Amino acid sequence: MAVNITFSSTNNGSAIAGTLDHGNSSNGSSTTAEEIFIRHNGESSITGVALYIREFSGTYSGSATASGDFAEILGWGDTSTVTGFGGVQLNLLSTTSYPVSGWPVNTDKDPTGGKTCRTGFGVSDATAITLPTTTNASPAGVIAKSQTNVALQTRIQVPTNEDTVGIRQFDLVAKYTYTT
Amino acid sequence: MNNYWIKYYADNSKLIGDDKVSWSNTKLDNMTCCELYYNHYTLGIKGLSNDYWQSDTYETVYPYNKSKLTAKRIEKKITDRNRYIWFQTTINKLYLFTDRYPEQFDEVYIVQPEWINKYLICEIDLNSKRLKWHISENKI
Repeated sequence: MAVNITFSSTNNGSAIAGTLDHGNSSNGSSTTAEEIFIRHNGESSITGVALYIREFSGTYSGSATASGDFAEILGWGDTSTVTGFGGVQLNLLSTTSYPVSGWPVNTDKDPTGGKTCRTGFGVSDATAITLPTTTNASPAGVIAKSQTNVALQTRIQVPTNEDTVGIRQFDLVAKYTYTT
Repeated sequence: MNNYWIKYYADNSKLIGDDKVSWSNTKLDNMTCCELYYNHYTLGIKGLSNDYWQSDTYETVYPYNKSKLTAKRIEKKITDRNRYIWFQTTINKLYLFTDRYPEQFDEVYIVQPEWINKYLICEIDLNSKRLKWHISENKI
């Protein structure tokens, strides 16, 4: 039997339906952080739980193209200048209530407990970001049977020098392994 | 549709199971071989061990809670009794042997000391539809 993951916005809450709208953000600022809880219906633990982003796979309703959006978001994360840096960011410090120090900045894209999705980091199956123990995974990457408190926050930072208004879309993918 | 595994034991008994039967909670000791059948693919590892595992990898795209199976695998801990790893393979079948020196083979690997206590992984990659093997630091 396939083991399925449930995403919710509260601990053990209802499964999220539809896409997650990060809302609007102006140049140089970040969207409001969204908390995501992850649980599963397996009879034993799932292991190797890791996240990555990729090109949007649903029916595209953004302002350009799915491939263009993904390339742009990747570029935002790759850029190290203060005006060009941005992208999809993860704060993995659920156990300490997501302190500001867990959010990346252009001079530190991987602070303790934080990650910027960019080339080589969280943008493919091979570079997926394993959930650390600070998300309540125990040990890292493991979610126990019936465990409901594994969580993280995500946000999007729009670069200061971005000059194209519009909607961007991408997939957030969870990968995991299960032994019956 | 084929989707099951077979555990073979040193006493010549065997156990057949599928996704509804726990691999972990059925006998793991003194296994001599395990085979995994999935659709038209076959995986096998042969060699005495108390440390064989079977696992599946999935991916789920947020927010949908419908998972997609991306890999099925079997794995075996490499021990100091294993001197060689060699394999028989076709498009749909990958069989790894660790229990004896091959009589006929395409390619054989001499087990290196640093491979001991690592895991021999035999996998169906359902994205690429390829059969693969590698040695992993840890059990997957």
